[in-house]
Amino acid sequence: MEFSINKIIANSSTVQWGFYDPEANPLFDVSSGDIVEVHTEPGMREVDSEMREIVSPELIDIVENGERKLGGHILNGPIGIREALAGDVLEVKMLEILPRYNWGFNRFRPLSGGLPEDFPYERRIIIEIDKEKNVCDWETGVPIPLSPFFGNMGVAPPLNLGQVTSGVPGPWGGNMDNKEFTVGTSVFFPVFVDGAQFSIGDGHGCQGDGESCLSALECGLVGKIQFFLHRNTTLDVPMAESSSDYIFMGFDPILDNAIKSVIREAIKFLVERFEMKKDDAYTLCSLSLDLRVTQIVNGTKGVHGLLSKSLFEDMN
Amino acid sequence: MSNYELIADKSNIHWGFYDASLRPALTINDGDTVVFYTESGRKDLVGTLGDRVSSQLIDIFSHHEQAFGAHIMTGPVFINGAKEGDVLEVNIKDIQTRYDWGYNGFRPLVGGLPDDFPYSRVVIIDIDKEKGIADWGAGVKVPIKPFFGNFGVAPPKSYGKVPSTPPAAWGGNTDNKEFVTGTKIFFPIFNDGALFSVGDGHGCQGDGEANINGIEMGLIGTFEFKVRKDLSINLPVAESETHHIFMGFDPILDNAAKIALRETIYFLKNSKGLHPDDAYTLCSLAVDLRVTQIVNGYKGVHAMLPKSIF
Amino acid sequence: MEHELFANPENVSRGFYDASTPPILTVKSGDTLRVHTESGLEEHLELVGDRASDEFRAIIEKLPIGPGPHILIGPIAIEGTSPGDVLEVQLEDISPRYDWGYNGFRPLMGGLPEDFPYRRTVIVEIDKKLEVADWGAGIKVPLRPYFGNFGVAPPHSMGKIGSYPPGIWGGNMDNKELISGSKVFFPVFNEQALFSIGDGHGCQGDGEVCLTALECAMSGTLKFKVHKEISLILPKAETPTHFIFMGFDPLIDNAVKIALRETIKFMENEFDIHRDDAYTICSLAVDLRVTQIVNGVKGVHAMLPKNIFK
Repeated sequence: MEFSINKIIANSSTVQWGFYDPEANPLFDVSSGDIVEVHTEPGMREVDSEMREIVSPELIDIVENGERKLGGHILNGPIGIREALAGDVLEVKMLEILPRYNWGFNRFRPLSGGLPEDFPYERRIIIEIDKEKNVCDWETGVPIPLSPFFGNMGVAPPLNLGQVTSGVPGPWGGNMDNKEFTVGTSVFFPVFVDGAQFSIGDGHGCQGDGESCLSALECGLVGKIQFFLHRNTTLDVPMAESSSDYIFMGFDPILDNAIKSVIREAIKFLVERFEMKKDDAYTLCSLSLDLRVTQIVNGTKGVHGLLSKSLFEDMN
Repeated sequence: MSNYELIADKSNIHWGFYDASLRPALTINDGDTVVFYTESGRKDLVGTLGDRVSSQLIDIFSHHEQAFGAHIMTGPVFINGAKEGDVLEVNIKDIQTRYDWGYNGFRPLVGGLPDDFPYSRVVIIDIDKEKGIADWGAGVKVPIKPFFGNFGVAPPKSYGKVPSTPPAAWGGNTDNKEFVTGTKIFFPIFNDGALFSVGDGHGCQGDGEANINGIEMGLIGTFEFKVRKDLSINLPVAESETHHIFMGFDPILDNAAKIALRETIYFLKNSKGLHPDDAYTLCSLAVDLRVTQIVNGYKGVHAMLPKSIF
Repeated sequence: MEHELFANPENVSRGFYDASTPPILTVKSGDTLRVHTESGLEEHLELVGDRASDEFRAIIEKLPIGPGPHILIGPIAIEGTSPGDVLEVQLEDISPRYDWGYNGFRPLMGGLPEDFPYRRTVIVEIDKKLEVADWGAGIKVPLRPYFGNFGVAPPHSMGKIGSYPPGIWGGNMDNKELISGSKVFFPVFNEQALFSIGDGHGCQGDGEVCLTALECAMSGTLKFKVHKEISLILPKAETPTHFIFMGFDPLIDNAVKIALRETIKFMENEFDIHRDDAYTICSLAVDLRVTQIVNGVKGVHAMLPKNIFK
């Protein structure tokens, strides 16, 4: 079957800088099954002299002429999915993700990040990306293998929320910063407005669970994503599926609370999808659900739980 | 001792941030008094309020962009003789309401109960200065007890420009309803001149500031400044007519409570000569922990130590 | 009808609530009960020697303890009370029984376990005439007596639970506002409610930060009233000046949200206030207090002033 391929290259007319908007109009519409190729840019408040030598003219144009609202992420979109209605579930599958440039950066600043008391000053470094060797290097003698994913993606939020900052994760997705969203993974979103209106950006070349200092390897990415619409199921909060695991997510300013959300999502899934008894689902979580700290730096923190699909081979 | 006046307008405010590199709006000497006339407002309410809004506030909106936080800060004031490492004693001699209106709003994703109120709402509140009550037509009238929610000194230079949103070592958005007329607040000084700013007038507020706003309104505050070279503190402390007040700030209230407690015990040890065990016990028997605010990212707890027991 | 109970090994539970414990007294709605509780562990018995009453000695020597430490008089059956009802308990004439009490902290517990990783117990002298307490640290604290631990039997399905945490049955609320003149309302989970009471506190700061308050044997008069027309999920209270709502959770942040939600729900139901306005009133006039941070499950209470509803 032929699917049409569309392309969005980030520039001042193809991005939303810092927000998701329930009333935004899409750049274009696609249908279930279509593929979109996105070329994203990393977010920055200003282009200083060091950056000016390496960033693209499109990024300079966005930063110097665009309007930054609420948050800092440069999001390609929105993309409308023709048949999507509020109440549906939108699956976004990561087909291909590659670094766009041979550079990225990492930064921390006062009052933010995992250890604000310990690092009460600002620091930004530029990191070299070796596309061939698939590593990044910032001259510390510790090259790190790349594992690129998009940190920020989601659908338009419910109308009553109005325009929301790109800075936090939530039921619409947003700044999830989940390192599991690499090639081969599908992320499922509840649809709140007709057309879904999907946006994506915030490329991460690599990241540790937690994103401890505030940022990952922030870089431009080229990604191919495929959309599928599901109507036979509902979601309150995004979930994901990699080739090996079901991935449940929870978001809250307190990690303890985010953890509870994840466990509840996992139990709900097990009861609904595999008709397990609640008590058995709870026990299974204790035996097999791995809780990971997604990120601790976005105000609203994130926890995700991984549950191996292989446990259910016989049931599926 | 000289008296000064600083009336908020487009030339002497900074909107939404603190910054040690700001040029002072006023320079005074140790021991002087300044009467601040502050503004508080939202661009989207100007239409509804019409001519109740001052020309200065309109001017501020057309000349300034809101950065990071929401607070219109009047200042900074440079105090001669104040050096990094000293302590600034701010004596609140008087606070009066300025206008006959204020506002209160909440919005999605922030505040005490974001899951319960996932939408925006703002109300204009009428202030009856004579009767000292506030009314927005909901069937209740709340008594006015004005204080400034956001004031302090410039943060360390290395922090650069910081949002006015959190409370912190330099003061900032403490939103402490105890800071009424007759209270002294002590700030650690991080820059020569201290660079004091004030804003965010609150007509009244409950401990917690549950929905993210108090009654937001312009106020008139008379502040007396003293440079204290005999003191050294890490966090702001306060003293009302009846209590010593210690503060803790952290995104998690449990942690903020511990910080406030530790500040209290430190004071009891060093200023009252109590053994730490006795200080801890005294806290358990006579110190009240209050939830200052739960809405500024960094939440606040304050510990109230009654002076009467000494 | 009037009743009276003096704590002894036959009429107390030592450290637990349990719906299957048979009642030691049956009363009717409208009756009063004068209770005289005891407080302490083996170590306190040793420390006070013959200042200890015979009954206190007998309780310590005869009864096994656990999971919690509190000596609770009860259960008291209130005739005509059924699951789904609300039990109102009015409190009057609360006063310390003896001229001594105690305070202690120990490792791994309390508000600052990292700072006080050792054990300490003091006997506190209670001056009933001057109404102050003194443990020889150079300061006297004023008395403000109340009961820290009381409530109904928890749901049967919970089995025997320790007296340590507060919960939907009441339990170890340690709320210093519940002094003489206050009323406390409990959801009823079992036939005849099965009420217990103990843990006298001579005085306490909000937070109860070191782990214990001024622990002492206490006398108090209780009056019981059964309500069938209202229902509750959590205990709440009322003083002459305030409505008091409670939240319990291991994290203060979460306890805050619970208390806030209870307050908003009350304003909506009782005074027909729109929930947006109730949220706003919370921000302007409701004070959040840290009840205690030491019982595993922490407590926050919201103080809603009655005078704004005139």
